[in-house]
Amino acid sequence: MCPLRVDHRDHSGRPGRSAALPVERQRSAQPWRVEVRIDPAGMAVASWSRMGQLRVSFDRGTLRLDGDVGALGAAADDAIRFDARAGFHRASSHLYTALLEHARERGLEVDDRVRAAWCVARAPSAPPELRPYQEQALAAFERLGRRGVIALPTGSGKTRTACAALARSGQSAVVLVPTRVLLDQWISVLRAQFGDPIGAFGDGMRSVSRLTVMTFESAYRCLDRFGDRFAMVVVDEAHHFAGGARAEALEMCPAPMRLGLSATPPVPGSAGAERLRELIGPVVFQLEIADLAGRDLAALELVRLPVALTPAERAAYDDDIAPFTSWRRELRRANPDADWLSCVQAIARVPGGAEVLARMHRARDLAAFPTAKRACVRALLARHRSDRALLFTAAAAHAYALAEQELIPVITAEVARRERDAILAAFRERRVRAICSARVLNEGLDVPDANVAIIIAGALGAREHVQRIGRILRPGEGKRAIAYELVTLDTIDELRVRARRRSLVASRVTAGCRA
Amino acid sequence: MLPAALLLVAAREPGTGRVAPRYLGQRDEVWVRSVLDVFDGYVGRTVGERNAELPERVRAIARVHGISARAADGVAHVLARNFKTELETPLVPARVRAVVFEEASREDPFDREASLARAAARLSASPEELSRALFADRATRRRISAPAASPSAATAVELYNLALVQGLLQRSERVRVELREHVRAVVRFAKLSGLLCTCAFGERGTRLELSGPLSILRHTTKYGFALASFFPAVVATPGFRMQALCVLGGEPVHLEIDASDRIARTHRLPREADSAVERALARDVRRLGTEWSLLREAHMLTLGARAVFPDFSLRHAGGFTILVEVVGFYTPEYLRSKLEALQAASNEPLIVCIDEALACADGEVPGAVLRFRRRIDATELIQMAEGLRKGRG
Repeated sequence: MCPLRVDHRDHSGRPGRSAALPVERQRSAQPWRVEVRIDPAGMAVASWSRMGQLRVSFDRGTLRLDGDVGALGAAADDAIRFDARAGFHRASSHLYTALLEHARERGLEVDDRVRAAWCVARAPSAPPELRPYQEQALAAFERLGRRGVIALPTGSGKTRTACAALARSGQSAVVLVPTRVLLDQWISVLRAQFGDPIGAFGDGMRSVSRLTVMTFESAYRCLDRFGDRFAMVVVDEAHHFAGGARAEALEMCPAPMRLGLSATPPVPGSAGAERLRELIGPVVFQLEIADLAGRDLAALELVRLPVALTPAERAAYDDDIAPFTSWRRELRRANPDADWLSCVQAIARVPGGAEVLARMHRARDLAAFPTAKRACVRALLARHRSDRALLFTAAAAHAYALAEQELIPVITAEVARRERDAILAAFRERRVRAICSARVLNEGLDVPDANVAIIIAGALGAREHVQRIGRILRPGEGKRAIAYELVTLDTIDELRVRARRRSLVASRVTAGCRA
Repeated sequence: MLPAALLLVAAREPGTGRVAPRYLGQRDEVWVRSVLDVFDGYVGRTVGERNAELPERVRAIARVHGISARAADGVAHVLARNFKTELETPLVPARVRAVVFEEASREDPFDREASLARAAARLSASPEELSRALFADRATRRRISAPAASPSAATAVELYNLALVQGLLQRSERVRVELREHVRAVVRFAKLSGLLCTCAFGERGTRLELSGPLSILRHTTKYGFALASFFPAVVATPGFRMQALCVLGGEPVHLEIDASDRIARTHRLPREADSAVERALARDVRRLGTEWSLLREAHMLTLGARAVFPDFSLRHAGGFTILVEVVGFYTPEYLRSKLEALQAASNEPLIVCIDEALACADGEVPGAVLRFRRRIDATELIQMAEGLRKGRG
């Protein structure tokens, strides 16, 4: 028989040494619940809790539940686990609101310590002026319990809408952003709007304030310590949380108000959409580029420019791609449903497969950035000398090659914050006319006057393409945006462009645009 | 820590999910020496050149010696960190870029040579120097310099083995360690990393179970980095054994490691993280020359699965022991919880030394209290200890 240790923790969390029920509890008219469990050291641990009372607090990224947890019933069994290591029950923090509602429905008296931990609320401030569709989006968010995703095209003012939501709530909030560039941008926007000191986590900064901005990576690492400070969480580019381990950041934050922002939410009904619904909420408002182009967004012209490989490039390309094509054909003969990824994975597993894939990657790189595309970029930059252009490549190496060839600044993950800010300032002040990037400029960066996008090649499919086009759509007086898409004929590059186009047509991005 | 693509494990018993890291051993030192020679050959060249050529050369060595390409790539991964790099230009590349790009944007039509010439005039350098300096600070453009001390093949093998285990632990959900010594240092290290730690005792010493709060709710490798960072502290303790539940390729596996494995000991167990006050007290008690001695490595007390370490114990030559807890900044809740845990775990009397300069709250403190400012008076402490001893006697 295991030794018995009675741990009659009350709501103060104090353990006692005596196995006897304390006198005041023996006298109490209110019944007590006793639970005995075996801890990891093999000791029996008994815990007392007053029936009908539940205390909810935050403990290292989870909700700590003390008291009459049993009264929550079987419905809560899936969400709550007894943690024998610590001696109390835990639940995932993102279930805070649902758990409290459930407890109150079951007639439990709840001592809510999570709410008490929030940073001091700000006084509600005057929200920024909103366009009608932004107002509608915010109204939908508020009507549906302040939990949900607002899906608006890039350049349509998602940040402004979120600022209005923050101003109206007046509560402490954390804003999660995917990149360091966006971290700086959000800090500037919030400082301009609210004037408060703005906390920041990421890119070497570590401070918590009533309004705090965190990169996704920092949030994943530190929301288990600070997740309870905020009543509201705003997730920029929320589609990133549709999958992957970083989504656990949102599980560690109990904030009851949860706003997601995205230009490209996951397809409804997909696993990603369900995950977002669970962590943030449903899509509460959605508009596409076609709904706003020409009125609330700049008018857009899409131009496709096909180019060909030189004879030498063609020979090299064909030589490198042939083994992969042959393997893929074999695999698809055996399994007609095999997609690109499963073919690549299957080839990687066979002897010699790594070499086949390495050659395929070399061919893909060549198709993404052949001589003809370089010449084409030079001609386009000359044509748009008086405009402001953003150039997008598939790989950082291509961006640097273009930067050296055309002497234009490049923004990649390697570029330090100070230089990045200097480049953006020079671009705004027209001291430089173009910026080149592989991925860093894909999302969120606010470049109000860019009106030309030259998409040399993409690596991440339709979502990336929509985001890139969105960079030039911010409205301006009489502004007309033009996006060039360079395509290397008869290569993987062309297949990618076709797949992207099918996806864009399906999501109405190209509707209403002149191609 | 090795990345996922380079991790190699071997099944201990097929079908059981029990695996061991596929370590390198003494016979691998021959080809590791060859890899080291290849690295040495790149001193003075750029990182980009090395990145482009080295993988094929390392795999060629792997083919010749009949070893896994992933093991060879892993060794290269570990060795690459040993070489520092330097800029190959006296100019400041960021400044060069700012001037060159601005000049290039100025004229219409764009003329690359003319733009570089204008920028060169502004920076008092030649256009060729500017071309070389433009992106000279990119990681791939930097020149490799010779390391202060090149590792031997044997050291490289041990460093590889350490990086392999840490790479695996980075994908772990929870870890069980059996330690014979230095339990306190390891527990402190684990707790500082935000891990939950439970203890149990067996014939093989103290068994620690380490995981994070979230792992009770879901499979998560969030604590993998903390578990991997904490491993060098474990390796530094003699006779350790470790089991870890890792997720490799989406499959759970049980990793087993022990002190007989050939792993580099890069970590020296930290000195006890005591303060100046604690060090001075130990010295003062020793100088008093009484029958009392102050033990800084106090024994571990357990409260169920919880480990509690008093700061010191005062032991009388006659065998009587008193626990001593030195408290600096505290909140009443923290202090109450800590002292009650100490008292619940032990029958020995307790003296609490409270720094009045740092105390942030008043209130009743359980146990005998000795208040001090900056330095604990050793004579007062011993008098108080004598009082407690006589009271019990």
